[in-house]
This record gives sequence, structure tokens and C-alpha cells, in this order.
Amino acid sequence: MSERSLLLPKPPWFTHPVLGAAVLGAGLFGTNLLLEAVQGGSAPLRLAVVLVPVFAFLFWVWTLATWYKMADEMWQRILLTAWTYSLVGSALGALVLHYVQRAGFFPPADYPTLEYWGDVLPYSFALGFLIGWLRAKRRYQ
Amino acid sequence: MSWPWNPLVVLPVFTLCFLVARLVPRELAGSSELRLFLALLIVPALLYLFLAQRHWVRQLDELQRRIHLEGYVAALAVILLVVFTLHFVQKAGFVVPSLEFIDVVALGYVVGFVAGVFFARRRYL
Repeated sequence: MSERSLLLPKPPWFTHPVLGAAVLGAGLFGTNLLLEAVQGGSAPLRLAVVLVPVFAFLFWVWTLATWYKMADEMWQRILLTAWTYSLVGSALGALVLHYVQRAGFFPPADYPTLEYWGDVLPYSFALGFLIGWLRAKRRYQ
Repeated sequence: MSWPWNPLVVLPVFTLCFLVARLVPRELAGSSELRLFLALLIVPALLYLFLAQRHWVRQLDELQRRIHLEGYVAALAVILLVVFTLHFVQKAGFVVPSLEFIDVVALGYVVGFVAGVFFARRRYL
């Protein structure tokens, strides 16, 4: 195994996934604040605010895709494994929450799961990614 | 392929547990423990499905495996995008059609996976 393959790929700063994640985090947090500020505002204005996290999310996905394409074979495998864990973690969490709510337990029925999951999903994604990342690293390195 | 991982066993078992969990009404007579048990039936069913999928993916060669994993990643991206968008649209005061979160996940999973596999196949094959 070469020395290079043990290192994370180094993308240009503007395509760095950490920057992408920071932009996404700021987009999500900022949109929450902005939506409170424009509450009662016109529909086009509110819709424009809603588009902020969508573009932030697309930017983040683009940085991840760039990173993935730059990575060597082993890192691509680690990243794919980590993202698959994220998917499994998110889907499992979503289904459990959904059916527990349907059965009349937490969260209350008048709390839309869509709203709840908009707040929770980033954390479940991050946790799944971290577990997958650590497992894949231990397996491949 | 040994019988516990056979799709003809895995898929009916998962579908049965899924239907039982889905059909549990909030007003089901009986103890709350029973309702919780039936609702949580989806957990072992899902874990079984995921383990079976892992088993199936491991049967594939290197290239097919990569195509499938890229399909899963595309599914994840679609789910996240749709959930974030709907979440904020709802927060902005717009009425989201009667769409349950679980429908978003299921639809996003299928559409994202199919699209991901399609583009990965076009790229690698």
C-alpha cells in the first residue's frame, strides 16, 4: 500500500467537503433564522429563502462528488461504505420513528414527522457516516 | 445461496413485517406494549433486509458492487434533498400535500437508487 493511499485526497480549497459541509450547516441554520424574520412576508420572498438550503445542499453534494472522483481506489471504497452506512442509518431511524408515531408514541401525532426529520436527519446522516467511515478505515487500512 | 439469504425468503418476510407495522392503528385495542411491539417489528425486519442486501452485494464482482454502492449513495442524496426542501417549504408556511415522511424516504430510495445505478452503469459499462 503506497504512502499516498493512506492520506486523504487534498482537493482545491473551494471544492473541499469541509467547506461544503460548513456552507450547508450555515445554510440550514441561517434559513431557520431567516424564515422567522420573513414570517408573514410575501410568498415569493419566503420561497426564495427556502431555496437557500437547497443550493447549499447541492454545493455540498458537488464538493463530495469532486472529492470522491479525486480519491484513489481505496478511499473511494471507504467513502462509498461510509455513505451506505449513512443511508441505512437514516432509513432505519426514519422507519422506526414513523411506526412508533403511528402506534401512538413519540413524537406526538400532531408533530409532523417531516418537520421533525428535517431537524434530525443531518445528525443521523453524520452518525451513520462516522460509523461507516471508522469501520471501513479499520477494514481497509 | 443459502435459504436465509434467498430473496424468495427475505422479501416476503420483510413485506409481512412491514404490513403488520403499517396496519397497526393508533386506536388498536389492547395494551400499549402490544402496539409498541408491533410497531417495532419493522426494526428486525429492516436489519434482516439490510444484512441480506449486504450478502447480495458481496456476491457481486468488483465493478457491479461499485455500481450498486453508487446507486445507494444517489438514493441517499435524493432523500436528503427532498426532505430538506419539503421541510423548509413547510416551515415557510406553504402547505405540503398530504405526504408522509415515510413516502418521501421510500420514493427517494427507489428513484435515487434506480437513477444512480443507471448513471453508474453508463459510466462504467
